[in-house]
Parts: sequence; structure tokens; C-alpha cells
Amino acid sequence: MKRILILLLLSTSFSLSYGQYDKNKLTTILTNGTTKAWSVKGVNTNPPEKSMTFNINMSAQLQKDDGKGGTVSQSEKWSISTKDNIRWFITLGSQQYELVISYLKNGSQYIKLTHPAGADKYEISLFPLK
Amino acid sequence: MNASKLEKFLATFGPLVGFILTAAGLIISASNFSKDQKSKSALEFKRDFWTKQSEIYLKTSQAIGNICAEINKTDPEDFDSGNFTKSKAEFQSLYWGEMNFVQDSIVISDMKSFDQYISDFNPKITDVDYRQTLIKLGNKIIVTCRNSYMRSFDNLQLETPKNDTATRVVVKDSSGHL
Repeated sequence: MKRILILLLLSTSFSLSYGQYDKNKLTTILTNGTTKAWSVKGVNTNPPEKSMTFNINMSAQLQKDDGKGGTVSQSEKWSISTKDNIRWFITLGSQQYELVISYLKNGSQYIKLTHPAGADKYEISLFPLK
Repeated sequence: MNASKLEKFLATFGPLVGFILTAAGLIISASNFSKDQKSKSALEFKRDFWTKQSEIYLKTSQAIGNICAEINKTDPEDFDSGNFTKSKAEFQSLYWGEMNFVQDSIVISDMKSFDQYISDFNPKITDVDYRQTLIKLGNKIIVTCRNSYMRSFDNLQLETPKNDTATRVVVKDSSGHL
């Protein structure tokens, strides 16, 4: 009886975790296991961030437009959260975005970040920097 | 002497008192009738709204169902681009239009996320996580639509007049609890 129960629990947890994004998978996509740099492009907006680098130790470096044609570097902390294990949110410093994994027509992966609410709602896309 | 005074008083004011009582009765009846009519009109309006709401939820669920059925096809050769594009257009039309009529913030918020995924869905990508996340989000919206639909039906029943016989419905919350 105990064995059946354990098997049931294992199969349930496997079916729940299999085949959808989770915190580890998203962290790996964002950091490539250690660190990964992304270029930032705005959708109907011109964001101050030019690039972002996510590190596995939950730190991030943001390259921002300084308004004089150059860039300034800013360090932030980041974390990933969810309420339903389906929709994922990333908190970057004081900003929270909904995180959506997407693919271009050529098959390359990119990330959509959207402000979930508020009047200043906007969307940015992150493309891997080579 | 006193009896004749009383008789005189009744003869003079009796019809007046009778008239006042009749008038008061008429006013109270008219007021009750008006209240009943208003209540019936409000209930009819809510029923119409509920019917419209259920149509929107059903159309949304159908569009999502078609999209998920296409996404669930693991072989890109089986992917019906025409069906996917048609269902995506239906979904987006509902998301930008009719769903705002219902103003269900939870459904709209999930639909926004779903729209982000399907807007540039790439059928050539066989990544299971990518496809399953989208399918699970679709299922979540359908369940949320169903729960909202049942909840509004339950609210409708609470305001139904006593002589109206409607069946009781058991409502589950989003976590599936009774």
C-alpha cells in the first residue's frame, strides 16, 4: 500500500513538473548556467536599458543610456516568482515584469518582458548578445 | 346628546376617513407594484448580461481550444496553419473587444499573457516546455471562464424572486475546492 502511495506521489509530481517552464529552467535560460548578456529592444517604446546581464548568483548588470550618447552601468538584484506555475514574473531591482519565452521565425529564442499593470505599461524584448 | 354628536361626527368625517384609507391602500399597492417591476427589470437585465457573458466565455474557450489543439501537435507537418491563424484572430478579436464588455480582470490578465505567447508562435519549435506552458495557460483561462460563469449564475440565483424555481449550482473556486 505504501509503495503504491509513493508511486502515485512520484508520478503526480513528475506529471506536474514535466513539460512546462519552472524556476530552474527559466534561470538557466536567463543565465545560461552562469552568466548571459542580452540586448534590450523596446516594443512601441524607447527603454533606457540598452543591455542586461543576468548572473546565476541573482545579480544583474544593466547598461543604461546616460542621455549624452553614452551608457552607465547599474547593478541590481533579480528574482523569479509565480503564483500558478504557469505565468512567471521577474523582479529586477524595483521593477516587476511578466516573463514570456518566445521564438523568432529563424528559431532563435528571445524573452518578452511586460509590465503587468499600471499606466506605465510597456513591453521590452531581450535578445541574446553574441 | 353625546351619541347624536358621535353620529354627526361619523356622518361628516366617516366618508373622508374611508377615502383616505382607500387612497393610502392604492398608493401602497402602486408603490409595491413599481418596486416589483423594477426588481423584475433588473433581474431580466442581469439574465441578458449573463447570457451574453456565457456566449463570450464559450467563444473564448472554443478559440483557445482550437489553438491548443494545434499547438499540441508535436509534428510540425501536422500543424494546420490556416486553423491556427483563424482561431488566433478569433481569440485576439475577443481579447481586444468583447471580453472588455464582461470586464473579468482575471480572465483578461491571463488572456493578455496567452496573447503574448501566440502572437509569434513558431510551429517549428518542438520545445515541450514552450508548447506545454502555452497549453496549460489556455486550460487555465478556460477553467477561469467556467468558474466566473458559474459564480455569476450563482449570484443571479441569489436575487431570483421566491416563486422562481431554479436549480442550485455547486460552485468550485479556481483551486477546484467546493
